[in-house]
Amino acid sequence: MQRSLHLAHQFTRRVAFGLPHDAALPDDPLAWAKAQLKRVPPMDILERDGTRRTDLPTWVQLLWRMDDVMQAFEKHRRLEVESFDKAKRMSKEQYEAERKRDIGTPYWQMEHWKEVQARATTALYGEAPVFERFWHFWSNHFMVAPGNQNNDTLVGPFQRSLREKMTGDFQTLLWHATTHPGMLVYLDNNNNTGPRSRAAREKWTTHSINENLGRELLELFTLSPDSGYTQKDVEAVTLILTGWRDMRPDKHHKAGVPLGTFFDFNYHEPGSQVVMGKTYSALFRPSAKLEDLIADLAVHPATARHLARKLCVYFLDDDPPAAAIRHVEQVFLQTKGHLPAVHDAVLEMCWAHLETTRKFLSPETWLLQTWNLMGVGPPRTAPLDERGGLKTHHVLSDLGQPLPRCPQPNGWPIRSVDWISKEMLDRRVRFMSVVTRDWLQQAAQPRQTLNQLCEKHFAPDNPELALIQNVMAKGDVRSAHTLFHASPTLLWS
Amino acid sequence: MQRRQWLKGAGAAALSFAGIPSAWANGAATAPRLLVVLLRGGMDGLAAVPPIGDANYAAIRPTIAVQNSLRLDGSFGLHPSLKHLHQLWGQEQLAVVHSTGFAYAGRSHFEGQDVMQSGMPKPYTSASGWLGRAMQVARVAGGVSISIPMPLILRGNPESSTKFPNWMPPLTPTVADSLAALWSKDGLMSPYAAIIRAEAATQRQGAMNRQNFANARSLPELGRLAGQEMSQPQGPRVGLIDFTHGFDTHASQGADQGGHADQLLKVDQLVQNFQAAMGPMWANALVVTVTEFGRTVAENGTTGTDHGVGTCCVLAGGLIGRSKVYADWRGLHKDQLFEGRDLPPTIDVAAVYAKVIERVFEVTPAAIQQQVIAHKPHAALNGLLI
Repeated sequence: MQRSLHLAHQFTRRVAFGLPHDAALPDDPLAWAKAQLKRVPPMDILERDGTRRTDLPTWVQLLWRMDDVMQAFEKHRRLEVESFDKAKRMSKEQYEAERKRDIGTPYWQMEHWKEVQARATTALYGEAPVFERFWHFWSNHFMVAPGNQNNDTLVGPFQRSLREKMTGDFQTLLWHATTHPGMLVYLDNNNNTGPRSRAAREKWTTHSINENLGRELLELFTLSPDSGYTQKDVEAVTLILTGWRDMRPDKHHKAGVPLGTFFDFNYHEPGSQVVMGKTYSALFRPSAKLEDLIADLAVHPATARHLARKLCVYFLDDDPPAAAIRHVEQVFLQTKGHLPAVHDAVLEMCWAHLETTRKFLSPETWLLQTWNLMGVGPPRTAPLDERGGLKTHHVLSDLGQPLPRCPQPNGWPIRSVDWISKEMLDRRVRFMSVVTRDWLQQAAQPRQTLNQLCEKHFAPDNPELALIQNVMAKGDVRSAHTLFHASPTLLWS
Repeated sequence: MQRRQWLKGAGAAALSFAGIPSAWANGAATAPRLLVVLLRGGMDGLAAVPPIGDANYAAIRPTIAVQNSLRLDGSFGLHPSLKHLHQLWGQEQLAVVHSTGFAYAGRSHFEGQDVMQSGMPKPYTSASGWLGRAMQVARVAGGVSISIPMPLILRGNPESSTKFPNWMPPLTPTVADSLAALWSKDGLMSPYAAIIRAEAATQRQGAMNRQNFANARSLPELGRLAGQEMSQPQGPRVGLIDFTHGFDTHASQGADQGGHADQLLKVDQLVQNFQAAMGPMWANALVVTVTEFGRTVAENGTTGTDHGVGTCCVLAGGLIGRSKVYADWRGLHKDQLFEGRDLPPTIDVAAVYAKVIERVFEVTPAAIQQQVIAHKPHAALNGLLI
């Protein structure tokens, strides 16, 4: 389908972050987008040319191997315990200085910065921005955020580990996300203990059941409350989840047991459980109860409906066309949740309903889009950088989306209306104004670039275009450029 | 870009929040003021206001029962973090409604947080909130949320706005003056153009007032900011503070000290700061808490509590009739609990908010029932406010 220039660009902003200012528009935007979902693109803190950034201290790198992740997690936990003990013996100043050096800098500041920086630079300089948008969706669907049990070092590794599962079935992704140590710790399942388990009966632990993960597995990840499950179902799922814990390199670590996800029968509630009328039991392999449950939940019609609707709200509109939801839902059901097919269906619906749907960009998506269109990147400043300066995650915080600190397990809002308020809008305009001042000093031909941007993104009869051209005609390029990125056309996609 | 350089560029104005005349034009200075505090995550009413007179309390919470509560009456105490609220109790300015909650009992945070803000019996059925609708019905100009996003509870009133400490330089006149035209076709954005323009103009003229921003953004300090805004003669009559998380204490919630106690301490300091900033206007003000649900009566297997139903609602300020705990208390024995596990919502908390709306906005009970928030009135609440 042939589309006018501004609509094709709108599509690149809808499913990615727009095109870099010097990139050519693809002949077939839909095919361009679909081609980016076939394989998992590498991720790292990248340079503009897509290579790994090398000017950071060697200890600042993304951890990928589960062993390394669990070692870092345990080291952080041990430092916290030691720090707590030291508090009694040290002066307040000494204690706080040491805490900042040993814990605050490496495990909060640097840990969060490097993950946000990797996310931002991979979105802009990586090979498949459309894949990144879908990863943003799934890492929001399966939210793990810092703030529970010193889990800071698990957040990034968990979120990145979802990428590998995005080219398979939803069932595999769901299994992975539910049983990853990042999730087990974030939603307290590592302490969820069966009341009739051996550990409870012999009083190895005072822990018993904890419904946190059980409830979200039904409510957020799969069925959604509309499906009509009950408190009894939540309790049964919680029992099935007992014993699913993380193995870490502490004093309880048994030699030869791999670090990471660990099913411990000693903490598991024996017997069978009934969820939504179906009995889950396993005589010889109790861990299979969860496998069976996840297999059922992953392809349940209510899950297909929930995910189809959520994907369409995220990518199309707060009130998506019923036909679009139905199409994505049917593809999900027909392919038993094969994600590449589901993602393609979402892209097709974005393309088909482009003129009649619109999404207000989240602060993160908008920020990445502005940088992309301007041809500048996220600030390079890292914590500990003596020159000081603005950091990406601080900008996001100022704009109202303080990654990675999502307040609640339901993730960041996906509806347009939740990103619109006086403060949200005011901050975007102010930020653009400041960024533009620097851009004007660096850009080779700012006036010409801005003219090109206007040509690409505005329909010729769009009144916003006339307004911006009018400001430019008075010689005020800074205001014109600020208003361009703060226009409804560019704030929505 | 250097942060320092930005700050320098901020010039005189951007850092000032105190003393800015608001864009809201709001009737007489004597009109009552209302601060609503959202406590997301499910505040544990049995920790905030422990039923010390109930024989089952200590047994059902072996490690998390509050030990050294501040005395309210023979039946209830106040958590030791709530020292300022306890002082207000002594001054006849604190009321608690206990064993209260919404008609919704699904125990989901997100549905519950929708219900507590929309004021609807079912989740996700309204795009406006009960506070926003109350202001609409009362023809009161918009309120202010001390936050970056606009919470659902205030939506439904197009003049309501948001305010949060911001270090970025104010907009130049050209940009600020262009927004109204630029956004004119967009119904969701255009209402804010005039407010942004007015604030930019004020801030460009404002006096230098360097703030510690990390501190200015702490929840207790946001209470002060709300008080500064609302105590102005033309200031907003309604304010909102949003605890976006922190009450969901599934594990290690603590008793006299610990995670839940730290959260309560912030609430206590917030009220204290708000009162200080309100000055004499405190006599004509009310603070009220809203949370989506309470927590299980029994502690769970990880020295915390899971999602429950009933909890308590705390009200403070000069509009309180007299210090009292309002409760239709059934007891903590398993047989007396809702579904054998939760505090029963014997008083509809929506009826408490209806009383608040009636008093603060002078809306008739019938109009509240039909247009603002449907509720089951409760005779015991009649003396709640003066």
